[in-house]
This record gives sequence, structure tokens and C-alpha cells, in this order.
Amino acid sequence: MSQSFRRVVHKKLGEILIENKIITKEQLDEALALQNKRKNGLIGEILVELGFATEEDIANTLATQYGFPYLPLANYDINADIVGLLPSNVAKQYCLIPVDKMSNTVVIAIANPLNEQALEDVEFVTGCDVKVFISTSSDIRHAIKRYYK
Amino acid sequence: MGLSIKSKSLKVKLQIAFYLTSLIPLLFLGYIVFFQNTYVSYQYVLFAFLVALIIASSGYCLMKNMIFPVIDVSNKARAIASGNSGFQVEIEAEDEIGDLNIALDKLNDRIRDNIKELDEYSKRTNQINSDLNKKIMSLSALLQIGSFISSSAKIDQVLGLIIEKVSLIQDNNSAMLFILDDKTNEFELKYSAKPFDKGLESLRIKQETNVWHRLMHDKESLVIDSNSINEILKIEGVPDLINEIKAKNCIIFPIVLQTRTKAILVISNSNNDFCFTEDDLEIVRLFSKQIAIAIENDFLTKRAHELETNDEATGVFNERFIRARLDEEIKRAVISQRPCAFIIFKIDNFQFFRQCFGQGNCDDVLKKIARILIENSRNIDKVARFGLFEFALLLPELNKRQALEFAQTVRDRIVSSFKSEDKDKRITVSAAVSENPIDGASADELIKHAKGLFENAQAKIENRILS
Repeated sequence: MSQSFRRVVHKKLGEILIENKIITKEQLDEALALQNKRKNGLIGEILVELGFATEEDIANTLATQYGFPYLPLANYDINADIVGLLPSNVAKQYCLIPVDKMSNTVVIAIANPLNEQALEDVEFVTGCDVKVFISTSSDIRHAIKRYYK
Repeated sequence: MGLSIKSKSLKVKLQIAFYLTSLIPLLFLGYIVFFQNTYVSYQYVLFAFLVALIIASSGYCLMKNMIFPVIDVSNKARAIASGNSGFQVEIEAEDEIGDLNIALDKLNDRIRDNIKELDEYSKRTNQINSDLNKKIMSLSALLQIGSFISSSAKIDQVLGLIIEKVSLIQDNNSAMLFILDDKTNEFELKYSAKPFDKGLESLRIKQETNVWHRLMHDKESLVIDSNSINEILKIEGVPDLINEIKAKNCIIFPIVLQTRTKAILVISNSNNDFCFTEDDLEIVRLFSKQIAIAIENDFLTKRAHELETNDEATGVFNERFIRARLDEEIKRAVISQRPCAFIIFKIDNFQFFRQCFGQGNCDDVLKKIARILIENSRNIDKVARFGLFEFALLLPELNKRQALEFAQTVRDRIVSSFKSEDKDKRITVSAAVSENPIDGASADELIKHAKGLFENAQAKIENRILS
């Protein structure tokens, strides 16, 4: 991955949310317990599901803490050729969508920018460097539904 | 009943006959010769002889009437003694001969009754023998079938043997076995003791007829013979079935497995005025149990085979297991937004290697590669035999780049492990890497992609990593 904004903070999302007083320690424990019980699932999505945080809280936290820019995806139209850079499987599984391409860099909106494997896969498929924007999961899913038919 | 011969007139008749044939003619002639001193004319003597002859003849006739019945009775007695009880002679004498004749008739009647009784006993004994024989044959057949089932014979052979044996239990019997077709829910003719007649191979017991309901849901058998024909023919579907089977009598018996009718055994014949016995039903019941055991055994064997997870030769997982597991891992990967990689390692030129060095060396190579793959994989990875010359690896949470790196590393280790071998025995491997989500969203798609990489490669693949 050749991005300049590679992750340098190693704190986990839950801890950052507690620091930012968006959730309490007990709420995090409850969400982690549910994650363990399901043996799967993303902590951010579980916190949203339990009503302890909003998608925007998660996206903003990730944006401010890790320095990823936030993209309110609902306000943008995406070129179909750009969407075609990635197969729908990849977009759906990693909850991301390509939104632009500038020379050898593809710009993507992703709900979890910490998913480095996903970013690597995007690089592998497109053959381009990746620039990351954060969006909420629901905005990305709507966009996927809209553009991948 | 007094059968003793009382003295009636035979003695008197015998005396009269004796007198008439000897004494009276002699006395008469003596009287003529000795007491007629006067000249006796020639005519007178002739007349006297004639009278004497007539007297003697009447005596002879009387004697004949006595002797002939004795001869008849004697013949009759001889005939009875020789076993001809139907020999009849009408003797109307009221003397001892008549009594003897009556006694002989009674004796004859008694003998005839006894013979009839013996015939009855003989028939019953024959029936008992035949029943015993049938049971012995059944038991012997059941033993043979039992040992055939336990020898892991194929289901087709077992059911074929059962049908053949059950058809031999009674003369002129024919046997057929219908198996439930799970797709159509109809019973389809699959096995017959004789080769299928034309048109019979597509014979089916159709769904939703009364006969189907009776066999499928009520699990009741149907016995069609001269006793029950009129009642049974009223059941919808039965007349058609009998016509199609081309039999007059039949037992239609449902074979129930785990509360569901899975097959139907039909025993039939075309004998006139025929009735099945309780024993026949019992024998059919025993054979149907064997059929149920055979079907269940086959089902369990297949199920056990399906549940096998490991390859016998190498000890790693088998193809079925890895396919199922890959699907599960992909589902997990989708939920956790993680990748999942799949690699097929193919041993280069292994067919040639096998031809040169034999199966024993092949097995050693396979075991060695399996060991290297296991040693180099993580706890969460799965290694499987995937075809004759191939292995597959399931690598959860590895993306394409990571999987390619892994494949490269393992390929190098395998190749280097064979470096010390003779030149011809130096094994190389090639790998094809596919990944979820890039190459597919299901196990089939990932496997197809990886296999396609080998199949679509333009140049000869040797010691390469394909992606």
C-alpha cells in the first residue's frame, strides 16, 4: 500500500470512542460480549446496532483520530466507469465503493478504513494506489445498491 | 356287525349236487341192470342212460352254480389283495358265498376308506413338507442375504438377490421391487426377478391414488387372491396395477423405513383359484425386513462416507470437507468484512513420475508434501487432498497478496525438500491462488477460478504461482 496516510494510531476503535466520551466502558463491554457471542461482526456496527453510537459518531471518530477525510456519500453522484473498477463482490464484502480516479490513484469511500486487507485488495484489483475517504456503512450500502445492479 | 359265515344252504346244495351227479344216476342205472330181470330192450337202456345223464347234468349245473361264485369271490379277494379296490362282481347268492361276497365288499369299503384317509394324510404330510421346505428355503435365503448385506455388497446386487430369492419361495411366483422416487414421490419399478417385460420398465405406482395412499400413509399391505379379489378391485389404482403387472394374485407390501414407506415389494403369480396363506405373508414380511435393512444399510454407509473428513493416503482433509468448509469460511468472511484465500497446489508432471517410479513412491511424495503444507500453515488454515495430484489450502483472513506470498513460500519449501533426491525424482509444484471476494463469493467460484488458472495457462506450468 503506497498511501501516505497509513495508520499510525494503534488504539482500538472502542477505546477511542470511550476517550471521546461517545460510549462508556460498560457499553463497550456489552458490545464486545455480543461480538464474542456471535463470533463475528464489527465492533462499530454492533455499537450502532445497540444504539450506543451513531454511524456518524463512528465515522467522525475514525476521521478525526486517523486523519481520514469524511465523505457524505449521499450528496455525490458516482461515475459508472469508476464503479466498474471494482467487482461488486469486493465492494459488498468490504463495504466500500470507488468514487473517483485520478491518474494512478483510485479514491474509495469505506466504512472501515482500518481494514488494510480490503485496501490491498482494491490496489490488487485496480492496479492503482488507493486514497481513502470515510463514509457511513448505510451510505455506502445505499450507493452499492444504487450503482451495482 | 356279524360277518361270520353261517351254514345256510351250501352244504345241502353240495350234497344234492353230489347225489345228482353220482349216487342217483348210479342207483338208477343199478336198479335198471340188477332189478329188471326181464329182457331190456335197447331203447329202454338208452332211455335209462339219458335219464341218468339228465340227472347228472342237473347235478353238474347245481355244482357249477356253486363253484362259479366261489371263483368270482376268489378273484375278487385276489384283486383286493393286489390293491384293486374298485373291482366289482355282482353275486346274488344268499348262501355262504353271498355272505363271503358281502364280507369282502365291506372289507373292500373299509380298505377304500383307509386308503382315502391315507391319501388325505399323505396330502397333509406333503403340504407340511412343502411348508417346511418353503421355510427352510426362506431361512437359507435370509441367511444368504444377511451375509451378503454384511459383506458390504452394492445395494443393487443385494436388492437383486432378495428379489430373486423371494420369487423362488413359491412356484410360478414373480417378484418386483418399487423404490420411492423422492423427486416425484411415486414408486418406480427398479428390480424384478425376471428381465422387465416390454413397457414394464416405466411402471410406477402413481401419487395420490388410493393404492398409493394405502401404501404410503396407512402403510397397509394389499393381498389380492381369489378370496379378496372382489373387495380389493374396488380400491382405486388396483385394477390398473394388476393389469400392468399381468398377474392374477399378488401381495403388495410396503417397506417402511423410519416411519416412511421407502419401497414396495410385489409378489405375484397367475395361478387359478389361488389363495395366499398366513405363512406366505409372514415370509414376505421377513424378506421385506431384509430389504429395509439393505436400504438402511446403504443409506448409513453413504452417510458415513459423507461424514468422512480425511484422505486415507495422506491423513489431511478430503475434498468434500474442504469444499464445505470453504463455503462456511466465506460466509464468515462476508460477515467480518475479511478476505478468505484458497490455493490449489498441483504436483508438476506427477503422472509421469508415477509411471516411472510406481504408486509406492507417489504415496511417499504425497505424504511428504502434505506434511510440509501442514507444517507451514496456521492453526486456522485447512489442508486437504484435492484430486489425485493436488492439494488445497483454505486460508481464512488472508487476502490475495498474503495468499500469493504464502504460496510462494510453501512452493519454495516443497521444492527445496526434494533437492537432495535424484534428478528424476526432484518434485516441483505449481500453485493457483483465488480469493474471496476478488475471485468469487462462493466455494464453487473460488475452486473454479483456481482450476481455471491451471486449465487456461498458455505455457506449460511448472514450478509457478498463478493468480
